[in-house]
Amino acid sequence: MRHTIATILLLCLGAITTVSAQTTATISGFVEDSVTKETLVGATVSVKGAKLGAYTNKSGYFSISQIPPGECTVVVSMLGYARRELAFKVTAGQSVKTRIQMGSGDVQTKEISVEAARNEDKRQINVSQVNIPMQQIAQMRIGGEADIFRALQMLPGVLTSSQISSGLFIRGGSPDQNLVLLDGMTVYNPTHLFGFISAFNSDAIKDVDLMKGGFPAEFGGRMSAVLNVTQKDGNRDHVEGLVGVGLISSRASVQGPLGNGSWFIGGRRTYLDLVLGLLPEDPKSPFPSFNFYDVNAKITQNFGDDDKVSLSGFLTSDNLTLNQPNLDFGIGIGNRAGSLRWVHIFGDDLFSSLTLSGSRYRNGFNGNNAGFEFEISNSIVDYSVKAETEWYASDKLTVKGGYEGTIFNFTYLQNFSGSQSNQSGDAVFNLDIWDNTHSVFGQMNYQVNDLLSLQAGLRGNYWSYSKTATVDPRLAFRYQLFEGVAVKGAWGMYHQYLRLASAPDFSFFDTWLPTDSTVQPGRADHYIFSVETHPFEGYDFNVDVYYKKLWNINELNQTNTRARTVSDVFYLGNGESYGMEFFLQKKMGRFTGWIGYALGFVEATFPQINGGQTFRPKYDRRHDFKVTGIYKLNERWELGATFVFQSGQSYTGATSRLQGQLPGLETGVGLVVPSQRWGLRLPPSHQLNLNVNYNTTLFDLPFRILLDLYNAYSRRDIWFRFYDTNKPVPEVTDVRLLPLLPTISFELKF
Amino acid sequence: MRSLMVVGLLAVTALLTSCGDPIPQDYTPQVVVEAFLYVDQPIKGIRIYWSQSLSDTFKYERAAIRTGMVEITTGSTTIPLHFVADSNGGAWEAVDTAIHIQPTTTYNLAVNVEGRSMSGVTTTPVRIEWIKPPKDTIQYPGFMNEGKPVDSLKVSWTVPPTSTEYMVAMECLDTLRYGVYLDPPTTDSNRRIRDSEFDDDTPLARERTRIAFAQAPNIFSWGAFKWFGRHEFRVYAGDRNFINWLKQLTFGGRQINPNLGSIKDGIGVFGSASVIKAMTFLRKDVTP
Repeated sequence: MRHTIATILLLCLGAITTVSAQTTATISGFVEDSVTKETLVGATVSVKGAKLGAYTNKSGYFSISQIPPGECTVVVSMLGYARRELAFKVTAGQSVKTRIQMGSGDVQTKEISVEAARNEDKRQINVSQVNIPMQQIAQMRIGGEADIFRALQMLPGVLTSSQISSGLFIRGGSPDQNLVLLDGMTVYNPTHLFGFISAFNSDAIKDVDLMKGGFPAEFGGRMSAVLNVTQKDGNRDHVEGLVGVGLISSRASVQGPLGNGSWFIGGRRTYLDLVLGLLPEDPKSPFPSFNFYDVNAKITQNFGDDDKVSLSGFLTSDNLTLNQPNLDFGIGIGNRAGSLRWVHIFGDDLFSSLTLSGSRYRNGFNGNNAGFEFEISNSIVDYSVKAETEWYASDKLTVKGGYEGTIFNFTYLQNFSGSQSNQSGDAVFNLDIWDNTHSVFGQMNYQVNDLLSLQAGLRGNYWSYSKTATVDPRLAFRYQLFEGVAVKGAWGMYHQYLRLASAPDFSFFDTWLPTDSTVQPGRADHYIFSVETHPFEGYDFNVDVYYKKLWNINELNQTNTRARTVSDVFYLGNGESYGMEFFLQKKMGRFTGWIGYALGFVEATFPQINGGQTFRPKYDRRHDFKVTGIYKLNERWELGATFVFQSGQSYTGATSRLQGQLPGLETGVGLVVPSQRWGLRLPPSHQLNLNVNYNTTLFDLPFRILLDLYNAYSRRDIWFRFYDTNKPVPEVTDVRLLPLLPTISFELKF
Repeated sequence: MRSLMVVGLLAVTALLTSCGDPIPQDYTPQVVVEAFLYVDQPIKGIRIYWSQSLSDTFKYERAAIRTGMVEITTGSTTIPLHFVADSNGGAWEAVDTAIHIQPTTTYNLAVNVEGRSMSGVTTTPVRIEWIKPPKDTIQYPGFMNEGKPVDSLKVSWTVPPTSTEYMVAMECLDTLRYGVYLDPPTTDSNRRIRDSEFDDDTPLARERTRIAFAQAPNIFSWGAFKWFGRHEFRVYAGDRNFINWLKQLTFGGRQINPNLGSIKDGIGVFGSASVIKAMTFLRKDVTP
């Protein structure tokens, strides 16, 4: 009976839409930069005088239907671009396809933003979603490197395990609970320098969206958040390039037109190893050699107005080697990912995409102790297909559905046999798991009336290795209380299949594992309520209140050396997080930036940890206050600053000490008896970073000098505190973070 | 004005609750038990003591608990233990020194001292034997030998059905003399393999015995040795309690991990192991 009703409703909906389409017109197309012809994500397109509008999607595409016949004016606006008004004359049943080009316009930025806010598309609910303009991300640097993760860490509710870690702890969720997508490819370890900086080269990135919770059914497989990063397509008009020289690395990128499309390639590389190679060294005590590099590449081609194909690639590699007498070792960490995306537009109201992607993350440690070889390595490989269709059914209804299938291969090799050629025996542990997962989703955005919009979605998942099926319902709403004030809410269930064995401070030997039959998949329920306001012209002010309940979360069991199942590798428990976030943002004008404050609580309970009593995890920080400001003084000078003040991170104290014994030892090993796990808090951490940009020319080419002061007043926050039990009287030792670090770097465009 | 005061109070509250906790100095003493049983050996060397204050040097003589009731039972047999003082501070041992630990046997420990009761259970492994003991003399690889071994360190022993992990102890029997054991004898003195180990000012670095965790009954790297010269090479096939305590002390961190202990209602270990021993002599490498 229910199926019958649903079928009738869908048929009625289709009929209404068809009838409506015959009496009205539709305008659809792409919005792009007038110079580079790069498609623009998130541009607002509205019909003047009518309550009709849309945002461009990740492909820069929009579709507005239900336009009354006659003359109309389409207004397009986007931050950093001059507003455009285009006149159209449409007839009943007509479908107009267009390509709208936007020119940059700093002067009109203020007007544009206000207009964009007023014409906001009511179907876009976007609870707890933050989009940081790339211009602002480029100003948030560490050691001269613009860093997407550092910029995201400046948002309230986004925490780190320390200032030198780029792992994102979002609303109590650990970094492995975040889905990180780059052009549809899953990136499993998006960091360099063992987690110090992100692996995304900001020169190659067009758009960054962070969904801190309550994300819709089109995203799945993770419990906490989604970071959706889009690479630049490349300049479709002319060849251009950029060369940057910094303290940590140097980078270069080139882009240009290709046929009916474009190409982009960019890369970074460190040069510490090259510099050290020039210095004389003692063969008995040689320098370790370290380098990292990454490459981003993309080719895009349009085939007519309705088809666009993009081929994206992403490669990262970190390498550390040390060659001492009788002891050599090497560590290699890297990602390789590629995707082929085909976007096809059926008619004017049906947008579809097919993405084939592959991603591999691998890390390895191998060594040779005077002829005795050893090796530990692991990898995760996925081959995915994702097909999506988005139907702009009417000006009030958008329906989206799709399928996502992934073949996974997990490998783990531990070889202490003395020879890397041995692949079996007692000293060799070789794990090779193949699995496949399937997900289908459907979601609908419906604008009930001028004030209320709803979003409903359902995602079904099946994991064959554990033979587990789950269903994740998602709901969200947006209600316009009055002009300039809207309330939003979201609820959803989120299941996670993958688990990450990792240390919290370093992404060193990160090992991804599937859910097997010995454990249940992780699950989170999100409850989010937010208020969105525009208190002053040009300012957005949002307040989010959230509660997240987590089941089957994991903590690494670091002492299990004979793990054969997932339940051997992890302790499993439950947790919850709750809190409030305040976010005041100014996106336009000479001065831009934000002030954010988050009050957060995270708790976890594991039967095997802390005697089964509830504890707060290490990354639980009660208060989190952040300020970001960028001021464009004139065409030559830009100033920027970021400031963070956070409650100190947790650590475990001690109540007494002992001297543990084993047969044959004379002195033994000093140990402390711990008190409540993570029960004490370090002093608060705070840090001010300053930067100055000077724009000039070199050989008539645009040239920028970038001066950064990392940790401007040299606040040496405590990284971690431990009891040094090697001393006769145990000493509480604080390992502190980096002092003031001034850097200068250069950028030349051609 | 009132709103300002509220905001101010909230700000002060936020700042105060952001402050770090002072480093605790409180001392909560706990009883620690370290009891190991070795197959075919008498029961002895069991240490029971108070954990010490963090602000004091650890002295076992001061911490040792010398009175109370300690006994081990197996089947219907109860073996009483008593404290025996010696120059190292003393330890508990079986009153009947003729009793030897049997393989594949379950033993229960009961400790009632200082008004506290603790217990533990261990099942002893089977006896293990050398299949291939270490050679009498082993040549350490030479410096700059391009990673090629110049001698074999291959050893192997029988695998007990209950143990898959082992402790290896390499005890240097003479850290001073080296040449006197050569044929013909020389005046050469002994030294550590790596100079850098002198810099590691830790109790383990000062030990003559290097202990290591092994996951296979035949594998060793040269890193097992700290010194050249005469060594006793011991292998312990321990029960789970024994191996967990080995993990606690070698890579369990600086804090007691309750999951690695095996004393109910207390801290420590009650474990057992089968042990095999062999003598070997490690010849020095030839440095340029």
